[in-house]
Amino acid sequence: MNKIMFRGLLAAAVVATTLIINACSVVDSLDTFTMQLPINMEFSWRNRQAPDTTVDFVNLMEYSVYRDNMDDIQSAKLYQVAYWMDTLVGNPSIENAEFAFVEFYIRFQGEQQQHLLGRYENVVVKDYYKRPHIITVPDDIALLVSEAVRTKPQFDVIQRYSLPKNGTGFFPQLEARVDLAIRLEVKL
Amino acid sequence: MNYHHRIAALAAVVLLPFGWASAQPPLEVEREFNIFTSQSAAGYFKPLLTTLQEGFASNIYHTANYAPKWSIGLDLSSPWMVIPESHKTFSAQLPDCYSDPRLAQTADMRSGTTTRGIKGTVVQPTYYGTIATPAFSVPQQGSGEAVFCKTVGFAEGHDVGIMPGLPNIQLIVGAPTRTELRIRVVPVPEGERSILYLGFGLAQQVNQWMKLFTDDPTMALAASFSLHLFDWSSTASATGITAGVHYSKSWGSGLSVMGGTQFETISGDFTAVREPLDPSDAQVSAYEEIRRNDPITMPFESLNSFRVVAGGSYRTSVVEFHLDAAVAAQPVLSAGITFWLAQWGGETSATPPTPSTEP
Repeated sequence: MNKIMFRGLLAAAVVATTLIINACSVVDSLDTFTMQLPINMEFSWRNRQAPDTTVDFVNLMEYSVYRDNMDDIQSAKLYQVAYWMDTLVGNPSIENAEFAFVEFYIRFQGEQQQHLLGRYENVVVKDYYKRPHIITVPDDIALLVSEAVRTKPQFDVIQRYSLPKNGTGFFPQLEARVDLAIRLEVKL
Repeated sequence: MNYHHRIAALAAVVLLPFGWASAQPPLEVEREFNIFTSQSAAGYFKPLLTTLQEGFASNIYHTANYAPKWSIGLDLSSPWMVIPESHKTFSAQLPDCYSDPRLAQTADMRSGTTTRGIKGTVVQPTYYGTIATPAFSVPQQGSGEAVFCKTVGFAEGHDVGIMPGLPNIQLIVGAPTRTELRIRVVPVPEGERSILYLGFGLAQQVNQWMKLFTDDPTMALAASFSLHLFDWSSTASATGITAGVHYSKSWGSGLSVMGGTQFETISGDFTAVREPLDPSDAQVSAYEEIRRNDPITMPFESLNSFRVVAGGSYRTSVVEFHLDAAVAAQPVLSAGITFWLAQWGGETSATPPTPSTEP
């Protein structure tokens, strides 16, 4: 057998190391996993006069995906919001009601500041009745609240209705829902 | 110990790790992966499995010209797969109830455009893709099956354009019959379970039997076959094979070029159990499979079945550098180095195997 030539071995080691380091740098970028977590929220009015607001409290700790991975969450970005009306009783009726706008704000526990999540304009209630209407949360807002969502799992989502374009705006019962899709990036 | 006993002993040594690996508990999928159904897992991971398979099937040969001597070498190669756009998305199955507008009104939004009445399948990213699009759903009834027809989210991709395969670390044994055997053994300890990959590549120069290139010993034609065994204890197992022919031409300077074609396939399965559901969890999936906590099962398949490869190598002393590229479902770029440890017997015995000049 020929003896091993160590100069060649050294060259081999350099090439192999380079290949492995390059491979590792790509693999390192794969050590997180991003999934979408849909949060369901319910807003209920009883005997209220528009314009007014209603609030739903969200506790992400009720979601095992968030709770089990809290220490490993790298980012939590609000992505899309879907809004629909479930019930409306009052003046005007479902058939005739139209709001100039419906806005959604997020307020983290212990803070006063509200961040606008999205705004629906010219909300014709019969079009929104049990039909989802989607908006994408603007990037600047998503980034602004991202860190807060990651570290503060409890927050309020505030729904603000304008005065309806017709009718008295008094509603004995108004129920609406919002699904909020959050992009959770978790370190594996 | 006669020849048959040696073969039996070798087989036992090779197969023992497989038996040990399979005795481990199956993979338990944590709750965060409960967004996967078996169908979506198959679509999401299939391009990644393709990368794995194409990596297995790479670096089976670098020349068709095998010296008629005994030789031993160690090869270290790294195959990289270029991920095409078509491997970055797949058709994800939506919950069954989305198909019935009496149960659910559905919609999604892509690039600012809302699509209503989504049902059946929707395009979502694979492991290599980008951002997923949630499918929003409004239950139309307050009881029965409709109450589960809620919004679903999906797994997002990693936005990968090029991906390394498993490095090919292989022992090469050449025989005087102009035959070359490549052996790969890659054990990867991983917690309670382990991953084991075994690969065997066989290449045989054949042109001398066909009376081809009799007047030009620098050209050669060879056939190749390889077998790949992959086992992730009690979770995934797969068997892959390749078969092909390749041609090479070499020069006295140590340079040689080669080209070849290869059919390849892999088949196997993946099974994982889900972590028990948390009854207090606010998130209840719209997928019945997930609510039932059924295991995730999917085939271990590749999107690739054929490749055309071309490359070159340069040998100086006992070191041979090689580089090749292949057209395949995921185009392959591969580079590596072979360190020829020894050569003996055959027609000459003093020097390590240079690119063969014997007919």
